[in-house]
Amino acid sequence: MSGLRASFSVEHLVARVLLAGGLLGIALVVLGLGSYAAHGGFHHHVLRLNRTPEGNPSGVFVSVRQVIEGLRSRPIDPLAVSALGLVLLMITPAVAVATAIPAFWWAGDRRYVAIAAVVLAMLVLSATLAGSVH
Amino acid sequence: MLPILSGMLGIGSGAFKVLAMDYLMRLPMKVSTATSNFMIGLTAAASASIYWSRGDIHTLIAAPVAIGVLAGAYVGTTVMARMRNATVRKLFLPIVVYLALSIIARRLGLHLP
Repeated sequence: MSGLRASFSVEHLVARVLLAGGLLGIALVVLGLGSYAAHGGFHHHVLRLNRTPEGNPSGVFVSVRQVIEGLRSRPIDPLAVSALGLVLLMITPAVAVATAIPAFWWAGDRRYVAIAAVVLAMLVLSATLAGSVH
Repeated sequence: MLPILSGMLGIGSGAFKVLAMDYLMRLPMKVSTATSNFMIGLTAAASASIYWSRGDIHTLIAAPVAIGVLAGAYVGTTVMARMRNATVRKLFLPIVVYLALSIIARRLGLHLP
């Protein structure tokens, strides 16, 4: 019975992390888009999607460093705020898995600690190999 | 295997995961859809980081889509929690049939609406 209760608490914790990450991420996305619209971003804009020799089009971020640069610029790049929200949405599942590891450990479920650790390792590996963590 | 196929063919492997869990593992339909949703989040996070670092995700396209998807997912999950397993299964069947036809049509160079 105590094991059952513990497993429910792990699920509750993971659910909370997913909800918090989702809400915070989407709040940043809305904030960035709202700010972009308020500064007339949608008026004179033809969306450019193709890469040029100069680099990626405006609104395309390929690393966390680029997002931080956009947030540090003055005025703040509103699309960097939205991009930060998207990054948060992307990492939320990984954060949930990372949270589940100590929670499963605390619940005494060693098998699921191992499974969650392998899943987390694969997520970190894919992000690292993709080169987005820099 | 399903995530690999999903990445290669652009199919919604979540629907087929639900099918596998429902018919092969005999899980309740709600458990299947919820588990599939969580798994999609993980596999999508892994592939999204790759697409993102390649510059394939434009913020002005992804951001509004994310808002719509999150709102839709919240409403869908809330509604699903109140439904019976049998009802969820009945709603799910035409979606799987459409997905299957859509994949076949795409391979034949046709596009379903």
